[in-house]
Amino acid sequence: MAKLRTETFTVTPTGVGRKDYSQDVQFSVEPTIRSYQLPYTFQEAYILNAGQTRTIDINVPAGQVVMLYDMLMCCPANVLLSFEVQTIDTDGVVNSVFHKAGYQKVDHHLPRGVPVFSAIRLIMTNNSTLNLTDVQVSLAGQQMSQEEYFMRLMP
Amino acid sequence: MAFVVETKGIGRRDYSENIEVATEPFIRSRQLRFFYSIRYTALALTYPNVYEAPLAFLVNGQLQDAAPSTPYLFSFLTVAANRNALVALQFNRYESYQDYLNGNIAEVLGCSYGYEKTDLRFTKPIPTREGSVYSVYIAEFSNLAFNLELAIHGLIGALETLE
Repeated sequence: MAKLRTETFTVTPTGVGRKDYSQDVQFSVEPTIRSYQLPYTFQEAYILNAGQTRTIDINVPAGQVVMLYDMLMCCPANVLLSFEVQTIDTDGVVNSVFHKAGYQKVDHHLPRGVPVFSAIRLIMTNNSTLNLTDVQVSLAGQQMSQEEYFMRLMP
Repeated sequence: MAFVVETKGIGRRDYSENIEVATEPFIRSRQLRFFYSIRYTALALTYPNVYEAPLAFLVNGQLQDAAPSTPYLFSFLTVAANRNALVALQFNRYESYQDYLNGNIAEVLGCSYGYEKTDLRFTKPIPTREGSVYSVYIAEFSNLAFNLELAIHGLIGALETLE
């Protein structure tokens, strides 16, 4: 790639009144973590015997929303794992976020996140003939109240 | 094709063609970036034994173990070996230095295994809590003495606080 030309745009003040600063009005900043958000992490080690599938539900506190961004399942052996993450809404509707398989590790990142209102369901499968005693699951995201998630204004 | 707004009449000129050239910066005005990288040379480890590397924070030119009031945001941690051996990385938080000495982990923020390398990526960085002590477990389980490269990236600042 080659840059063909650079053009500098200058706003020349003319007449009377306030200067035109429109070139720079978008230099305002956005914090990485807003004041109403808390970090959310979940980390647990599980036993998965050969060929076993385990389903784990992680409850979200009532009135809260967890935004999930990063999900990781791994073990200290080069075996085929399968990992599915589902979200359960307050009305019981189950949505599958992703379902992947991988050797030794399955990870998934969602740049825009996924909201969880009631529970996070993990479905983990060990597709090998080896009994695994240290299957690590790490989840990361943010937590906030439902009012803050929906940005409802206070009366 | 360039679109030109013709000037006519009276009043302020129309600069609407160019007002969207402003960009969103990677580093915001209230942020700094930190980068930590070190090579650990250690004797052989057997699973599940690990080495612990406490993280120090530089405050006013002095290193301290407890996280300062300005939050550090951890976004990426990685370890890499120079051979295809099983490596491990775990990111820990202790409530205090005394808890660190006693080995009482308050929470594990992430744990990952991998062959030759492994990492923890946080799309929304994990902020430190003031006064807490942070460490990483690192390991290579090849039963041989090893060199392990640890790198940690993140930002300093950028938590919104309301007045």
